[in-house]
Amino acid sequence: MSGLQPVLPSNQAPSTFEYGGGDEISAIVLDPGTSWIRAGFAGEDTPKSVIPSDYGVLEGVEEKGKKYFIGDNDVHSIRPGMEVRNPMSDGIVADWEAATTLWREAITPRLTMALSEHPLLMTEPSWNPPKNREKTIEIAFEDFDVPAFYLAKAGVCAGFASGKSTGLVIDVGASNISVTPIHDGLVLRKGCVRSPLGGEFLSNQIRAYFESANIPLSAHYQVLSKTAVEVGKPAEATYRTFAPGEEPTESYKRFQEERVLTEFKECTAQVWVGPGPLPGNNNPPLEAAHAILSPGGRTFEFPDGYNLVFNSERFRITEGIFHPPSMLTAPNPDPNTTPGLNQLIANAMKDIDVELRQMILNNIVITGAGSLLYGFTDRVNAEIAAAFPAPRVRVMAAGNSVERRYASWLGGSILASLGAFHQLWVSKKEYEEHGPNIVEKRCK
Amino acid sequence: MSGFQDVRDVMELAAPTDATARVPVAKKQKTVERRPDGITRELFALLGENPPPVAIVESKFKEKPRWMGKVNPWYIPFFSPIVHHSPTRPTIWMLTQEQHRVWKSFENPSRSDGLVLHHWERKTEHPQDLEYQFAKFNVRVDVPVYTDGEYEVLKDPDWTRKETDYLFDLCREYDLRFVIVWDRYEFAGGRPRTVEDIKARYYSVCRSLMELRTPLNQMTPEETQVFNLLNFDKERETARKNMAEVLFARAPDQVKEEEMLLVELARITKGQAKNLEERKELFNRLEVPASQGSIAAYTGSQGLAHLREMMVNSTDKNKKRKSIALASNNASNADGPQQSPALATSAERFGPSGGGSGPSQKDTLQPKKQVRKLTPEEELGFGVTYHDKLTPGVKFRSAMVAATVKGGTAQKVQAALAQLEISPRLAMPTARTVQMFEQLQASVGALLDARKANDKIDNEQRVLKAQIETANEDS
Repeated sequence: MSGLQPVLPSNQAPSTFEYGGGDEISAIVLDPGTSWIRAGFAGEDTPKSVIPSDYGVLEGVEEKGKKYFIGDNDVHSIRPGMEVRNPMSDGIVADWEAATTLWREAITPRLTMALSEHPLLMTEPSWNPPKNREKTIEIAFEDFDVPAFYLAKAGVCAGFASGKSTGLVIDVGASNISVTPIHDGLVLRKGCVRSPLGGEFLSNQIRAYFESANIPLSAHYQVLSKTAVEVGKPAEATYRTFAPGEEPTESYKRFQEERVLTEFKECTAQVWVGPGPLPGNNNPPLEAAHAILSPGGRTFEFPDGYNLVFNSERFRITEGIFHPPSMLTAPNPDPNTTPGLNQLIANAMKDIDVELRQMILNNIVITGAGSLLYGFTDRVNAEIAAAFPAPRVRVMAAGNSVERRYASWLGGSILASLGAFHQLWVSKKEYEEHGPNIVEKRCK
Repeated sequence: MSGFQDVRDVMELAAPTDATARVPVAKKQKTVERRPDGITRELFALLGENPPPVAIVESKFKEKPRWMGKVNPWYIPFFSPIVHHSPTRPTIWMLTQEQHRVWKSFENPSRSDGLVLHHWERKTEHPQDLEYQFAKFNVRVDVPVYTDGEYEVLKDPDWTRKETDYLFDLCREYDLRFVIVWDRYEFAGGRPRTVEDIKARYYSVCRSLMELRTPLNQMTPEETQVFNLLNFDKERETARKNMAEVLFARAPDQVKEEEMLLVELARITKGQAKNLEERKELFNRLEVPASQGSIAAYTGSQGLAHLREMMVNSTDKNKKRKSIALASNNASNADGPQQSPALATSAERFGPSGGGSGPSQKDTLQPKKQVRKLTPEEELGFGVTYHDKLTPGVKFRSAMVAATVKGGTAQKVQAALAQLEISPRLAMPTARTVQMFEQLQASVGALLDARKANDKIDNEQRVLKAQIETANEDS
């Protein structure tokens, strides 16, 4: 924002010209992902309530038999016997009971207690099967008792968040990287492709690298206090001890380790600029590449104080996203059958009408927290420009990390606050008349 | 008030009564335009009654949140119809309860299920139930519907009735976005269809249906136009799409080459107009009257002047006369009137340089074979000289002399010459005299330098001698 732009006071309504006919009806937008669940009121620019999709559960307590621990505070507390689980699998819901609980927790009581007063808009990945969609609308009307409901495609919403109704949305999520071509606000189904190379894959890459290099991985909860040590020297820290039977579960430990890996991704991992694969991995090392790679060493300190300088490894762990033969975790996923991001884009473009390709390549939108990797957008830009030399390629990625992470929520927020959208809601009456199958007819 | 009374005394007017004094004249309420922030009062006064054409926005810090204020729904003060005018106070914009918005239910007429939603609406005294403002955006594309009887005419061996129905349903559902229709096309038991197949079927059905309902000769001009638009040439579209495909699949080298060619083309088309103009002028010059008889008549200076006159007059008034005139002028200076136009242009470009410097070495445009090698004697005779560097413009040769002597010694040389009673400015600065004069100056300078050095050495000698003497005396 330039300094000359007028600042709109908070007590003044934005001009209706600004977003082409907004009409707030106080709808709630829910964007459930594999890593985070985002919820908030339509018309706002950031979700008010963001909770992790991972939840803690204690089996065999109380009369219900299960106790859930949801939200940042609860899921990170140390509880003996608490398992940490995730209701999503491959980006879609696998455990409906937990998902329903989590979704309700994201909305009440943070946003509202009266779910029956607010229409609900939810997002879904483009590969969501019809059965899941019907189950979703069932939960919305029967469990949540909302007055109106709509299921929007996450890709389309992410496009809307960047102001594009036609384009190619590259969403780097936790479980998948998905490439979704959209035209006039509708998903082009034939061009929707995805690959399990998201944030979880990257974590596994880092784990595999740590194992191969004998780097001990510790979690924050294990360390009581630490002292500064030289680079590469063993850690001198006091560790937390647990009485027998009081230890946290293995899933809890893994979940906590994941936080450290996320930190590693955020501040150490980097993407090779490209185009073309990272030199020196499978092909012979190049002088020029080493000159670029080696001076960029970065230090990373683990929770127990152990610290190391990482050089070219920073590039190696991310290279698998673009060049599957460089994966460190083979054979899962299989590098021969898993398409890299370049291949994904090429596959998506193959099944699109040639007249649309030009326009779609001109409006490429990159979203998802995984795309915040240092150098990611530059690499994507370079790869696409090399793969499609003829048309003009324009890649757009929000510079603001909040917008990048919550793009599909933001698009949903824009959609649900448009006056012209209100005719599209599936009302409770319609649901009662036609049954859950109505979602297939109305939410295209 | 005392000022008023003085004036009244002078004018011999009666003092105003209390009653009239107390009642102020009801001032006409002036609609004072609000001065926008970020513009000084003086500047605003200069603007007069016309508001500034551009919005002036002052960059300022974010407004401090009003924590202590009452929470109220937002309002729009500038477009509010309720304005409180007060005779005692300036016009202020007052926020009243009436301006607040209310949470109100509404129904969208473009929905059939009567879903009731709520939104904020401005509170007005007489709520009128207007139609929902966004209902007008519910527009659908008109996709024709055919009856069983009509379908008999629309039959196509490639399409079944069921598939045609399916196609028309999809077209209706996706508002004729054929790319989307093709993307979602999943007809059980049907053959795979391309976008062109779908478009061709749809348009042919529409066309036949239109013809069936209104015979061609009864159509209005608008209808005929629509009817003609529905003509879809499948072969042509398929060929076009194939070409687009080829264009899309170009290799980077091809793209680069094409770009280069485009740049070249742009350059050529840009210079084309200029080239044509130049060529035309050249042709015009070639059309100068050809000499028929002998050239004997033109050998004298009078003859040449006559020729020039003739050429100038023979060319059209509209044509560039100047260049022709110059060319002929130059031709009279050079070898003879037979000089080619190309030579004339080059001579014209460089112009008559200096007094008799003649063609310089720079003049490379002149064709080589035209230059006759001159012997040193001839050069001397014709006054042809060669220069390494020539500055543009006309100069006196005598003025160039002064510049040859270097700054510091120049004055001393001048003084020495004055002592010898030689004028610094030559009476007749021919090339040879100037050369001699420069030599003289240089040797005077050298002599002066030598004398200076000599004096210096003498001085040093004397000092050293004195030192030796004092040393001897001391010892």
